[in-house]
Amino acid sequence: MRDVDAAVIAAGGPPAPRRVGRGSRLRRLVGTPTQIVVWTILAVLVLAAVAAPLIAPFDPYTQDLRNTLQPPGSGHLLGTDNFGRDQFSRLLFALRSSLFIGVMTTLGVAAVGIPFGLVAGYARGAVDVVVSRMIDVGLALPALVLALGLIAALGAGIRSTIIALIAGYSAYLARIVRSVVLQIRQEEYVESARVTGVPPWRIAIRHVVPNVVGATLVQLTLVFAFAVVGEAGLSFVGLGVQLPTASLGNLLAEGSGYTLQSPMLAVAPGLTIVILLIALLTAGDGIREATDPRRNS
Amino acid sequence: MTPALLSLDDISVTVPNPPGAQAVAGVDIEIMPGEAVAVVGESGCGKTVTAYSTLGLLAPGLTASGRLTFGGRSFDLSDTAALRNLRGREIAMIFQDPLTCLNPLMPVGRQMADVLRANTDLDRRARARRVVDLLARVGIPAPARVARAYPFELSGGMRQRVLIAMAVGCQPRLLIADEPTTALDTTVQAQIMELLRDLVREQDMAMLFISHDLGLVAEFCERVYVMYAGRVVESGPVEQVLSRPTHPYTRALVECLVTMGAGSRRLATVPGSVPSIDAMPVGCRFEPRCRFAVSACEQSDPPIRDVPGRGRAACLRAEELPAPSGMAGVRPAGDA
Amino acid sequence: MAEQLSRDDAGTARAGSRRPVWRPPGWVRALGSSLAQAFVVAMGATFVVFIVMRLIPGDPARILAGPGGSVTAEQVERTRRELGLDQPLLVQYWDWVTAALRGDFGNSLVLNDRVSDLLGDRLVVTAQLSFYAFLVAVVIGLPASLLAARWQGAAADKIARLVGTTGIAVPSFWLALLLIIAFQGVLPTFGYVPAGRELADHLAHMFLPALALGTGLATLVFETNRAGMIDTLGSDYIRTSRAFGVSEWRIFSRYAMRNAFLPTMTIMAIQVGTLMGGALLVENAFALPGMGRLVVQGVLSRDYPVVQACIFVIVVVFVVVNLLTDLLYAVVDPRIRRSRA
Repeated sequence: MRDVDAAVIAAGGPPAPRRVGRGSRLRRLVGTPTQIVVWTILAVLVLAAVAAPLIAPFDPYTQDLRNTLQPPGSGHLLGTDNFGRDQFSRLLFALRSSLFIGVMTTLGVAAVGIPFGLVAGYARGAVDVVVSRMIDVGLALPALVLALGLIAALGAGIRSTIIALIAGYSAYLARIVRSVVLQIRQEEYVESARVTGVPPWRIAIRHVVPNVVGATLVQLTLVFAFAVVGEAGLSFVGLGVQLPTASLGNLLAEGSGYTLQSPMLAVAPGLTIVILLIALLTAGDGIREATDPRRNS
Repeated sequence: MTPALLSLDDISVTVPNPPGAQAVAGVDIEIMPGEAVAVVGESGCGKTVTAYSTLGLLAPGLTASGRLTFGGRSFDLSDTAALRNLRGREIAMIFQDPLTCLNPLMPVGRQMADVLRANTDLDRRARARRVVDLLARVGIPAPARVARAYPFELSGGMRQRVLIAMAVGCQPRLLIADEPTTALDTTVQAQIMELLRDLVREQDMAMLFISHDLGLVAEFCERVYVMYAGRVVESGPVEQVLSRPTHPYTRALVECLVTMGAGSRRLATVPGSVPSIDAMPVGCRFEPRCRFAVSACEQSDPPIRDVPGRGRAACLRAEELPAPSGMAGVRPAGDA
Repeated sequence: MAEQLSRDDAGTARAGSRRPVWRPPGWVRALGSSLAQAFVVAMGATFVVFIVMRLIPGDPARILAGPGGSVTAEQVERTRRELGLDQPLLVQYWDWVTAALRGDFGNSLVLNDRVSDLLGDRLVVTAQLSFYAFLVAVVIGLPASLLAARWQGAAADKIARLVGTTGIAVPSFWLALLLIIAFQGVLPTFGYVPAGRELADHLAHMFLPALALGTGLATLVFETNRAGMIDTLGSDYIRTSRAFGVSEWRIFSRYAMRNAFLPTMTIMAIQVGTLMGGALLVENAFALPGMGRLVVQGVLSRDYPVVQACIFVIVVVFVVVNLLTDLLYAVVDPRIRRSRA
């Protein structure tokens, strides 16, 4: 449950103007061995989530009360949980719901945060003040805390979790988009375009939008990461995805009761989260480097 | 002949990227006690890097080699720990941008006092008094008030005066001034240069003046080293080098200045640009831009040597080149 | 000389020629604008909370009036009036905020108790946990960042980056589970002992929770302060001090540490809200009787006065801490303290 300030620091300001062919940018994106590994991990995780019904060795919801809390191996790759359900199959389905929540939250945050950030960065006068204060207000409400309030209102469940997380993280994205726009507005090439009479909408399309996209993509990988952790946190205390649906947070919550007997139940889903997040964050670093010409000439 | 105060012997500075490339390659510089010496050249020619290397101030990743002799003591330039002993008390340095060169969160008087603490035996109260004296000496009105001021509260000229006061407070035998007036307004520039000249005379300091402004160099210095692409290509008395330049690069520099002064409609420029550090020519480094170049110039990089009747220059054809059109009316600083 | 100097002065100094009659010094205006902004943010955030709680389906007057079918419409109306629920929303909000600031959060809809009584001790536990976690972050993060800034290099960069990424990627509540697994039987992993009763036992019980909660913040402190130190140590003014023979140790301890710490402090303050949010989860893992349990129960039973109160407390703490940081910044940074522009 850490927030975007690390990202603000990591982002290091908006990228400079650029004009690079698509092919070369893609090559730069997956150019280093680290990035190849990272994108491979992400691809495997996504594939596993999508194909979960096909590749899961057992049904994730079928209980087998004679075979509860089995250790890993023994016919079950990661053992079984307290209801005798196959942990590996549950993990695949958990990944499925967690990634779904991650994707939906990221899309939602983009849909809310980018327009607000653009308006706050572009508008002057009262509009700027109002929108900027709204963003400040959003920042004063930690994502998880605001999410708690919304879930109280909406009731727990996948839909509520997504809405709550979108509300929680939109202000962060808006603030970053705003600062990117503000910085680009001050760049000399934008200034000179304005002075020479290029209409504002053209400046927006030619200069501002491409730069915002670069910076925003990086931030969205982070939002994705935060959404995964956010779901896990909410579900961990029983306010996110409702049982028996498997999600990474639910698996953690169930596993937390058996740390002594079957630590693997808590370790495996957590490790999945960590691997997913490290891959996402490193991919974000890669996107930043591929879209920022100052970092690799 | 008196021994040199500072002599730099075969200074090279290696950059990390590309591996082995040199920003400075085999530079020799000598400064006599009390002498004002200039190093001139375009930006990126290695003049600032040379100066930093003498105090072990190079950015991480850059490594220097060569010998430095100062007042009879000899140092290896790769031994930055030993070079620290020279800082302040022996050699002080002032920099180009006086705003970023002062700690924004500390009153300038306390920064000066810290420098005094490192270089003198004065106690706390004596340091505070000395700070005010020094500020007054560099022409700052209300020095006690300025001592309590923060850098952002002072103008560019005032900040540079503070740095100069800091330098004077160390009573160094050599002052290195790295483009001290480049960031300042023209009027302030002249004041600062006059202040520097007065102080150098009064304190019997030598000065190494790094600049790209030949006008200032002609006015304030006695000898000059011309650097190009990490090498010294010409050296000698200011009057001689600027009025009768030998090396084609110096000629080109001087001609730029002369045509400007003569009000010519077309500004003379040096065609081409400084070679990149990872693509140095095998031969003479100026050869690609040189209008006198012959095929022999591509073969090897000529070392700097005495040219009979013409000081020192690093040019194969030094003797055979036609008489140059130099800066008229240049007088060395000593004759004023 | 004097004449030249005044020109020199007026040429670049901004305050120069047209000085107004009197303007409040920089720190007064910094204080004013910080207070104003904190006020706006606090009002806005609490208003958002208030509105969100009104989205809860169901009629609180009906719930409070009494159980099931035994209540008449009249009784419901009376309760509504008593609670002020018939007033316009803004009036209700104002009544709630002013009462909350006096520590009166109303009655729980479910637990038949005053919310302030329910919060009482639990708030202390959460505050203690957050504070200890903060200490962990500072005690681990700051020294580590100083060491890392002292020994820079490509390998150090890689390690720092890995630490930073891992800090974000390892959720505090999972770290809590790992610590429980690792230290079961070695350190207390369950329950709470008040500080007043047995301090050593109290600290022992808080150690693992604080470590779980504080490690993430520690990596952020490490990363931020390391970057700040490296930036500062590479700055022109540090180079000046070096050139003038000021010792490396003095530069490190007097100049760089102080200047680098300002941005780190701001980042840490912004994290306070997130830290308290995380505390709610970590409490759950260690069965600490803090606000976490209460708020989760409140959310599940839609006990809006309880949820509202918990969020209110977190928002107020966040705003106050950030206000104090702003003010501290204004005191430490002369550019704000003494600015007249």
